[in-house]
Amino acid sequence: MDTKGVARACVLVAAAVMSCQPAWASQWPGTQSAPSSQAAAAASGFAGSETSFDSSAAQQEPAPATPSQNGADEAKLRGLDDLLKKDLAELARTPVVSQVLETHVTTVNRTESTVGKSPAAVFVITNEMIRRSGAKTIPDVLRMVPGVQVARIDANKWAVSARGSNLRWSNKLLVQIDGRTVYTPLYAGVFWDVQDLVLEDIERIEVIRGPGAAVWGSNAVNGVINIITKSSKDTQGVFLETGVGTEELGFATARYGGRAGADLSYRVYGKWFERDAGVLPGQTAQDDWRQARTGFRLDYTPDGCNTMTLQGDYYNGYSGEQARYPILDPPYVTQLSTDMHASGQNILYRWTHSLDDEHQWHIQLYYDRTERDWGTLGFAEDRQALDVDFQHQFPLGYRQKIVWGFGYRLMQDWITSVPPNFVYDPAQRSDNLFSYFIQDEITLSEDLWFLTLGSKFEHNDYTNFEFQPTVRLLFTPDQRHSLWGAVSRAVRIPSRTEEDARILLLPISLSPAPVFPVVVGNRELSAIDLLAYEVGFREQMTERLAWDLAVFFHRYEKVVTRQPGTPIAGPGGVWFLPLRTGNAMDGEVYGFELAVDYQARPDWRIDVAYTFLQMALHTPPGIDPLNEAAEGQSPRNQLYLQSSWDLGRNWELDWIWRYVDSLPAFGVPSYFVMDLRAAWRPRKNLELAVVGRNLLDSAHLEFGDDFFAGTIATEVRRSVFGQLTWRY
Amino acid sequence: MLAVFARRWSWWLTAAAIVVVCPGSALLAQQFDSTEVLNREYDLKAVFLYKFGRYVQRPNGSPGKADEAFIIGIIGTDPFGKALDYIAATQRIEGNKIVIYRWRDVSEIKPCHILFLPRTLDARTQRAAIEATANQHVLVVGETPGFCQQGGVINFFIAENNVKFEISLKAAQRQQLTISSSLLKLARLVDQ
Repeated sequence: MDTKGVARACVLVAAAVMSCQPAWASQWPGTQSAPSSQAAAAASGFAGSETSFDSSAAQQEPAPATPSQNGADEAKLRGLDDLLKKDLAELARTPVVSQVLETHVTTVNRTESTVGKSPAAVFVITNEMIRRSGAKTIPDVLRMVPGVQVARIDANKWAVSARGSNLRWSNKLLVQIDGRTVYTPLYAGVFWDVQDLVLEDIERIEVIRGPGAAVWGSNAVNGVINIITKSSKDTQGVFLETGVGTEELGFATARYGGRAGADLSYRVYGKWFERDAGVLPGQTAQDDWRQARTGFRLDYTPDGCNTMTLQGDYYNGYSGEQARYPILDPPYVTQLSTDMHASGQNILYRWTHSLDDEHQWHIQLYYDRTERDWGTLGFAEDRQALDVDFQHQFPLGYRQKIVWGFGYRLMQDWITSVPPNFVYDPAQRSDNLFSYFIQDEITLSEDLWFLTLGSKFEHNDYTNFEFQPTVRLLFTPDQRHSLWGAVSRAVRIPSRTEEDARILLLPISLSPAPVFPVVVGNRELSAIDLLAYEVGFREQMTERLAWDLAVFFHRYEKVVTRQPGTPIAGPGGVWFLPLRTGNAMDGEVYGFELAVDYQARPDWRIDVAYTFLQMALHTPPGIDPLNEAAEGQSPRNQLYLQSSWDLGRNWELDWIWRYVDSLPAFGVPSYFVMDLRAAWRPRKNLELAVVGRNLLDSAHLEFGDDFFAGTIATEVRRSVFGQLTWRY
Repeated sequence: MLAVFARRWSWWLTAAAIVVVCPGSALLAQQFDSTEVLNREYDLKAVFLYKFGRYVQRPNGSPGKADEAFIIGIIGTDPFGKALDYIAATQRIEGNKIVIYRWRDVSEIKPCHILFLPRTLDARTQRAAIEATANQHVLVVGETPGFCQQGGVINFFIAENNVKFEISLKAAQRQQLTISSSLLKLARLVDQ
């Protein structure tokens, strides 16, 4: 232990010895005498201050120098540790009165902003929130976000969406990790099993519900998830984490961050885990999985103007699953289990040049390769993407901020598929995507009204030209309130599977003759079109209570449908029922999302998120109304409650309770879940945690079997794991 | 049974959410307003004071050897609570340990590296303290409007919910202090 550590330990011991009352009975020092902020502001008349928070502690009596350290104090000193880690510029940006509205976001406009100044439904998950949720995977972390639907299909597959349309396939949600898109054009979704990181190294996850297409382009239809990792400057030293549990059979993470000179910092990491299978009543589930990954990040800041980042990852793993598989001979359906092999690597380079806060440009290049092989199921995909992105922001006069940019992406895939179950024609495909965007943020009235106009223009090989405009208006009467509204258009371009695939599904009847539906792709598909109307209101009611409400109405057109055609006789007396892919449906989705953040005491925080969602799809006459079943694949009501409580300086107790409504399309009943986490820090750099998850039932189902790939959904089991974390 | 309960219950919840949304909740806000304020002003100022120690150089190189202390003095009522003591216990400035002195008035002032004058201190005492430390290579920091015009080197102010500071280069020159450019970049310069 170094001298710093000793000193801190002394402070801790002193605090523990001298504490004369239990933590929960204590009071924030000086609170009795702290006047309300308005009164103080009126009394102070402090130069240069423009807010009502400026000097709320003006007449605050100093805390008495008594040694009665307590829980509230501990929380405060921990906050001080965080402040000490910041550099001068960060300190100058730190809000005096801690506010939800001041949380930084970059995803909304592709520029630095705050939640309070964002005319969009944005939610930010901080590193602290990730740690305290006890989650070990990214989809589990996302469960706390209002308006986001997360359902585990089996131990290594998730359906994640925002504002409905939740499916394993085609869910219209754009997901990016440090600017690299992980959305796969194969099926217009995300392979969540391989989207993993050292959770400790995530700085924040920005989640936007509703279209973000005007800056991010097609497929940012229902939402954008942007995962941002810390600069290697902020991950110096050794970090080790390991643990075991009933579902988390074993995991280990090691990361080392260092410096070479004053300008260059780096980190390298390695991570491995082994997770148990879910529950399949009457059978032994085969969806256990394991994965290892490694990666690095380099940050080079030669001067105040330039930042260069180079980062890369490599992973390799096996994910089990069981699937019902159609075969053309009796008994026509067989059950297979397979260990899908997944591996991938990516490398990204970004150069950011900022002349000052307002003039900035960046250029980013990345290469991403993913391979997946389902072995016995007869399907394998090898995919690569090369992407170039440039953006530039500058002020135009006093009232306008312009951001514009362009990008190019080359996507190539090689698909191996075994007829008759999967046929991709052509088996190899290369696609180009050219895009550019421009956005203007106009200050209509200083500090009061802001209008954002922008659009993305794209040329892709599936539907040719697309444009996706947005109009957003923001009203901020003061620093505690913001009201916004937006009208936007977004499109989801067809996936490779929707255009080029023929997929044999499970027989719909066996007598008098077996009939196998076959999904048939369509090269004439057009993009799914969304027109979204949104309004939102945020209020920092008091320094401790903030809430955020978004109400939306989404109007979809040209939603993908499968229309049965005339059955065709096949070999051996079987019949095929072609299901032609089309764009025949339209629909509406509406609802609201409410997030409440309540800092009940300095050492006790409560978060609430409530989501209401209603989906209505309409098939025109002559189109199979079964297509409307997608309505029942997203829960109508979701509630999330989290309590994060610090017991003294060394203990943390977290409690999560959530409710998810039923999914009528799958016959999945509603469920309640409770997670608990207790963490103990005997020393500053050592943490022991025990996490219990899904404690209310022995197992429950969250989603239904997969219609396309035949994957059998498994239940989520009650689990416990223990974890040891060491930082040096 | 549970499903029926859950369905009814979820509607109750919707109703509850709407209640929260309705303007009547303003009443609730007033109730909350009378309670404590989570304010980090002095935590931020304490961390800034410590950072100033690292970004300001004195001509005589004091404090020199590692066994000398870096001294931060405060006159009058200390507004920092435990923040400065915590920083002193856990941090060092270029290898020197940090010592905090608290003085009741100007007559008690001893040699120090940073002198902080809280805004609760009356103007006369502030002026006297600035005079008493003139040409002593002391970084005099205040938090009162017009402090730099009185001869203080750095003055904190609050703007847009952030702690900011202004620097008087003339005062710094008088005290023969060299202020790092990264500090100057963030500051508002008062005498240019």
